[in-house]
Amino acid sequence: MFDYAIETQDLTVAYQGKIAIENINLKLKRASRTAIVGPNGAGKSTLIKAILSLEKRVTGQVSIEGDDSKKARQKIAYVPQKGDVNWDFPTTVLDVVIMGRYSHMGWFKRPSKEDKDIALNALKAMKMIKFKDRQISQLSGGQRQRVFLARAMAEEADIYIMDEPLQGIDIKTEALIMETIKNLQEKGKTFLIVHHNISTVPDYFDHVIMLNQTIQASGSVNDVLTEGNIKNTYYEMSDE
Amino acid sequence: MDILSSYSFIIVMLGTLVLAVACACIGSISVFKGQSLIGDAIGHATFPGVVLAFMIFGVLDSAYLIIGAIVFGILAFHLIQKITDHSKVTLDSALALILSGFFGLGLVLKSYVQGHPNFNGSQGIDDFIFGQAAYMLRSDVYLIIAAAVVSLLLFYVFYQPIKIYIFDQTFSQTLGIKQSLMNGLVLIMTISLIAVGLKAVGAILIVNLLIAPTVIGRLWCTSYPYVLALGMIVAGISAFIGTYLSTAFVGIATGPAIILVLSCALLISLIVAPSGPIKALINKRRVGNQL
Amino acid sequence: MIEVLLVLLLTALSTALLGVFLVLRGQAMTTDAISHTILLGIVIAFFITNDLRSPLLIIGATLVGLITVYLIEVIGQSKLVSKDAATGLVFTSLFALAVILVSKYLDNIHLDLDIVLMGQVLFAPLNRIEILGIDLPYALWQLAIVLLINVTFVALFYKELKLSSFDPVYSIVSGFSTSIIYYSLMSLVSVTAVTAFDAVGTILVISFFTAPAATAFLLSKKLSTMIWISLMFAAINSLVGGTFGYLTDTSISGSVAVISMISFFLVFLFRKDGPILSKIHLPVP
Repeated sequence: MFDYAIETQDLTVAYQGKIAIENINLKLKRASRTAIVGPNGAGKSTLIKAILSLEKRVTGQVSIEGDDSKKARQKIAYVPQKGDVNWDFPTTVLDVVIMGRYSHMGWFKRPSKEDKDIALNALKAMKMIKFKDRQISQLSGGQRQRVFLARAMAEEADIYIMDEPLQGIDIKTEALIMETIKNLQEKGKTFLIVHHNISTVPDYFDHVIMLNQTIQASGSVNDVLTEGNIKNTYYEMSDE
Repeated sequence: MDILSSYSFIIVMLGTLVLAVACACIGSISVFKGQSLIGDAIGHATFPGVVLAFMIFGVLDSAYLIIGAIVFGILAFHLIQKITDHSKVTLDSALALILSGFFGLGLVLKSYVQGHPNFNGSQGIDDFIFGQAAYMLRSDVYLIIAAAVVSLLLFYVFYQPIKIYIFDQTFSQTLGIKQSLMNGLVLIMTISLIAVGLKAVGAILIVNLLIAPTVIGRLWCTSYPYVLALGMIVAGISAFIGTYLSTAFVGIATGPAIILVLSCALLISLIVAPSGPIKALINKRRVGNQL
Repeated sequence: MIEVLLVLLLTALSTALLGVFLVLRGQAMTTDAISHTILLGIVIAFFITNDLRSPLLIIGATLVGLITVYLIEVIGQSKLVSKDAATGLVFTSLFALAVILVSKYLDNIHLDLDIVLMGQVLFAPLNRIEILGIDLPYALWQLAIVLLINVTFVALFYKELKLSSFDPVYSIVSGFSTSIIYYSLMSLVSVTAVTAFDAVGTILVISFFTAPAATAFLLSKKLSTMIWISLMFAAINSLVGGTFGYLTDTSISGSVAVISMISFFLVFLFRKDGPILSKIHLPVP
């Protein structure tokens, strides 16, 4: 067993010659719920994309349960921001959730009966089973987010990385998502979530990373979420 | 014979030069609005209009054919808008559909005309697909100048609202600038330039004149007036060089020659310009090495 | 006449199948670009071989098709040039080059620009070849092979094509490289375009790729349905359009493009949630 679910060393990412995040050193405990907070443009999405090897890093290393992050992709479930997919795509809710099983299949193989059952169970957990044959374009914002979460659950991964899963959804869905996350955490799953509402951090998370290009503070919510740190993260101008 | 002083060279050069400069200016609007390829679809869609006008008026006189081109250009534009407004079909599919459907209609009409004894002298229709600047008449040049002057004048008069319309559509609405009026204005300017330009560069390649100058300008300059100025200068020079090359060497069509000269300017800009993609790649590496 | 229709039908089926993914990815106009630039590949390959039937022509065209896609990607990635501007620039430049090469050096050969543009499916039955004792037009053999390749490709990579078109980022995270899928798809688009190009020409092949798929897009809620509907419209459009063109003695590929546009608009107007039926449709109790 590894002590840390995710570990990064001196992680730096740059776009078109401009630095987006710099010298990120992180150690995420297993079975923790960690929020990434910070102002717009702080590099929150960049950080998780770098962890997922979706962004080329300039320097630094990422290890997922001791492995290089490219090798460890099966251990991670990713929930993208809502705008990132083509919502008019002709596909049904169940279809999308089954996509969560693709990483286990590899190239060429088709989903089996078992994959379908796992997907159906995930839909049940997210209370979306009655929408399973609906085309995704006909879902509300909250329902879409539930489908994404169900897809991530169907992956049966150890680590969940999410980009603003609570943005623009109804209160009921928010409660359901956070409850599901807590249940999964009790089963030993680790969560790293980009979060935009700093006032709900104490309710929803046990750890927090405060990011503005560099890590301003990180640790358990009780220790770190202080007024001074918030001010440092949100109101200090970075030296660009 | 000295090319530079030959009558036909001066006619063709004048026509293409004015056309290129005006296209550079007006084309910037759709490039900045991220709708560059609408010009391509409209360019192709004018073809059936040209053939139909020939069928109706019975002469291959540019002035009549241009009317057909404009009507079909406007029709195509509205159909594209209807499709994207009232269905989930994306702009690029709508463009491809209308472009090919209209062009297909043009080919059907053309084959009908050419197989029919009632229509004489239809060979020249092909000139509107690839452009045949060498056959440009003095009257063609007058038409180009007229369209260019009118659209540049409109652009000058409406410069402020156009600028706001391009860069902040919501803000322009709050200022009370009528969107339908602006759309219509841009459409008329674009289509009339395409229509008069068909004979010079052809339906397929004209979109390049609308896009390339602005992209070149953008790679070197940041403010809109400078982008425009540089684009117009480069377009004018390219038209001059392209026309010269096609006059000096046999077998080089004017339209493609101008496009190639413009493309060379673009290629150089992409590689050399401070904010071009090549420089960006190098910068990325450099940051990597420093850290 | 039957052979002409068969050529059209096979062209329509092999293009419409790939067209589904082009329409879903918002890449219909990339096809426009490829279908123009493959001319450059054909011309260059022709300079090397001096034979219009050489398989090198297909290879050359495919390579130029891929270069086109790659150039559009590279130029379009820069913040200053939008992807559609890049598309318009790349294809016009390469096409202009091809036109000059053709008119300067190949003026007398069969590579007539008119045929390049609109194709001439009526000539297809003239070039015949006997394989396994069956005497069929060369184009028909070629298209049958291309169709087979495309069907195999879509069947094998169905899952990967679906995921990478729907949610590219998730596709990468799941371990399916989007660029491998993308460039494989675009290679097949180039191969198909160059095979179809003799029969239907460079511009109208865009209609074959996109019109049936766009029509099917209006009607389907599942990807598999969309593929079947697209193939169905491809068949209807090519047979109806082909017959019309044949009987009226007008451009056959042009007729197919017009019929394809008409069938799109019929579906557009009369589909369940379309502008007409949604107005007269009775309130559900």
